[in-house]
Amino acid sequence: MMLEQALEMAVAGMKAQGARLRVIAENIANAESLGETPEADPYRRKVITFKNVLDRTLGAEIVSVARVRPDMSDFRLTYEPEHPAADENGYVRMPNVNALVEIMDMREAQRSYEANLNMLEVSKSMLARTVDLLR
Amino acid sequence: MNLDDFPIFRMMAGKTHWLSARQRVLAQNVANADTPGYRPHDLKPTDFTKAAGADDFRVTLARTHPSHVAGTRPVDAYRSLPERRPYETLPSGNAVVLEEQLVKVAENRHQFDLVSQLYRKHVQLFRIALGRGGQ
Repeated sequence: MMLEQALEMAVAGMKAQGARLRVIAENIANAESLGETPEADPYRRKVITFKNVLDRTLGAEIVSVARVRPDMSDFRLTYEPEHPAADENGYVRMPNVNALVEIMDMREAQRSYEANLNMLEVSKSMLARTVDLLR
Repeated sequence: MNLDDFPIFRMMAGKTHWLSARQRVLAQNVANADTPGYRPHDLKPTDFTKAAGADDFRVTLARTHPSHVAGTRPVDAYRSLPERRPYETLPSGNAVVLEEQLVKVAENRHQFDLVSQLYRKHVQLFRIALGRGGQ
């Protein structure tokens, strides 16, 4: 029962990292998405947080996504007077996505995902080992 | 003749159970490698040589009547303690170091392999005694 629970926890971790990768992909894809007019906001970066949730069927806490909330830091300003979204001084507000930060986050998500996968493999082989005792 | 009558088999069964419980705790740690405020847990090591000599491995609350309340702690609970001096803590409060956790998993796996091999060897000894030639 313990090893099955270990499997479930590893799977929950993998799902959580998958959700994190989805948010990162959305941020990177929308790094240049602007509004049409000076009043419209450009794309605002999203941030994901995790929490522990009690899973009743399992009887233990597993990790899951808490919230995907917007990052409230300031937008960057670039000088582009010809753009339809430029304000009266010629500045356009760009999304607050920094590609470097997103790539580093992606690397960390990948590493966590691989660690969880490793965990899954080891737990699975321990279970197989136990079954092998029957031979 | 019951295999449970032999201390060596009881000890091995107990150790296997402890190792599975530890695997569960380590899977939980790895899955929470990015959860803010999470400190890694680990099981307290139990002294199995002492327990091997003991008549009964685990102490349960005796129930002499069906309507008596059973103990609230499950019988096979091992105490999982949070790490008191983590190697490093992120600003988010997360203190899980993946390398440490994976080394512990490897150690766990080796001990599990050792115990399952020992079990198999002992059963083979019995088979020799029974005259089946170790098959």
